Amino acid sequence: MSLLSVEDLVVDHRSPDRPPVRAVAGASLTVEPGEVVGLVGESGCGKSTLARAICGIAAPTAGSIDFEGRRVRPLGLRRRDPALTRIQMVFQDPFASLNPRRRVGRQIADGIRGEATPEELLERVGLDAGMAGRYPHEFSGGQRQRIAIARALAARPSLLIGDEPISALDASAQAQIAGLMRSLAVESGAGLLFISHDLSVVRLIADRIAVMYLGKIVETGPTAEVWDDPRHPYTRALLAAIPEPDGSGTLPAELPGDVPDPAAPPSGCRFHPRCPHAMDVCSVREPMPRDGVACWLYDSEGSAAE
Amino acid sequence: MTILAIEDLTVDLGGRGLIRGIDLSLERGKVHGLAGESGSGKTMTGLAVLGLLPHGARTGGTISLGGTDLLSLSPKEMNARRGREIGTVFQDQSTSLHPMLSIGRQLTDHMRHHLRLDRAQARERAAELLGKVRIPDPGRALDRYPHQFSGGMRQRIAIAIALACDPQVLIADEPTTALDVTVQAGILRLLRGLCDDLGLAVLLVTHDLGVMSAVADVISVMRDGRLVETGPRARVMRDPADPYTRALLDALPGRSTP
Repeated sequence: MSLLSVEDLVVDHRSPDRPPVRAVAGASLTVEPGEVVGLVGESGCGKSTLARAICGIAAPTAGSIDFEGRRVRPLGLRRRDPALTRIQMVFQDPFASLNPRRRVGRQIADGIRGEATPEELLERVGLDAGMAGRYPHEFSGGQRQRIAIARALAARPSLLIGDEPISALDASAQAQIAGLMRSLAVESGAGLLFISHDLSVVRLIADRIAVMYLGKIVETGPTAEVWDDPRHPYTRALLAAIPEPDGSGTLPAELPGDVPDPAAPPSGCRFHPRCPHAMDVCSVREPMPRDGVACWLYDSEGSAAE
Repeated sequence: MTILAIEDLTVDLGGRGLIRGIDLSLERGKVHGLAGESGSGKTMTGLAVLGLLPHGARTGGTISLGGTDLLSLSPKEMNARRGREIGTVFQDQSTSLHPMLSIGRQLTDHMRHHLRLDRAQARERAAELLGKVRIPDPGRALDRYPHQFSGGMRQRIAIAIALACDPQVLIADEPTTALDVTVQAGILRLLRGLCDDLGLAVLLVTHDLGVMSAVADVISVMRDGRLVETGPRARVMRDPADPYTRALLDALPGRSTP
């Protein structure tokens, strides 16, 4: 049994006078204990909504989320199910996620389960124990994110979720914080779902990578395999767009077109209007994931239909 | 050909030396990349060229553009050049465009002021510029508002605004940092193309060494208000002379010290 198992999850954002926006449109994903899964995709692809649903902040329209064998139910007015406090999240902006008016040690102490002290937790994330009495504004962005991580660790999570935890940080702090999250999760045997649009950092820390496009996961696989041999045309386009710091002056490849409106997604495969390999079948029928990739190019049934 | 030359520039704010004597030149048709961590003074350098330093900042040295020292100009004289001879693109396209004004208005205001064009001429030129930065259906885009465009499109519009008065110099401060890699690739290609076609002298401020490697011709690395290294792109990226540059390169994900 997986630590986390998401099956065919659908999440709609509803707003008055508008058609519902299907942010997550049937996504399946698993995270095992001690495993780091990197979830990547362009802004608006639904990766943050997926993370919020896993924490119970966003309510699923259909599909299921199971954590340690229990169904995750969306948060309501009642207290959160204590079993679900073993899922902890680190948010994007440590300037907004910490209370500016409370000492950081107190904020960490809120969630402590077991014997730990805020001082120990601060040391685990690479800060001085003596800093517990300070306020958030006395820290840099990278330090604040460390504090947010310490607060998440206080609950002894078995699943840590980072929702773009490094995108608000300086370049110099990004790799450090990502590496810290990985080592803390792996050491404690917890799973880590790391969401980022920065593929180079995900490559560095993730065991497995899941690529999301317009509400669907189009490819998953071990990071090195996906990196060396991306199969889905969207994954290829994403990787080709990363500028290499090799000094060659090579301009990265452009992916033509914009991400379509999730309220009116294209028929068939959602990537077909932008795909250089689109075939007739692609605009008609949606490819199902097979061996980790949802693309008609790798589906004999699709070639037969051609 | 040198378009803009910075010599021994210092910027002092409240007794703190933010820039401590740098020399840097921008050449016609070349992208000069300025790298460094946050707080190293790279953004301040761009702001000094634009005459947009924070209130109370004291400057030394010279920034010469076409035989004039920009630092010696009065605010009024500087206003006549900013947007006219020096264009600028900032990181955050959602705040650099006015949400309540149409794209056409934002593109034509400074053209009418600086170039003394009438409404129809300015509009015609604005549509032409939007085409140049590859906004689909430029004529209609003029009557639309920023929120009707994606982040990448807004950044293209911001570039069109920066180029409206045919500046010689473009200051681009982290122009792709807020964008997805796929969108970033398009903007980098656009910037490089415009620099080559229009002979712009570009100062590209970025912490992203991948971006630097893709578009910069010359790279300077800044630390604590000083330049630690300046050189041709390939040399700086492959064989950095300064230990700090080497450390920055080694800090890149997926790289390790040899």
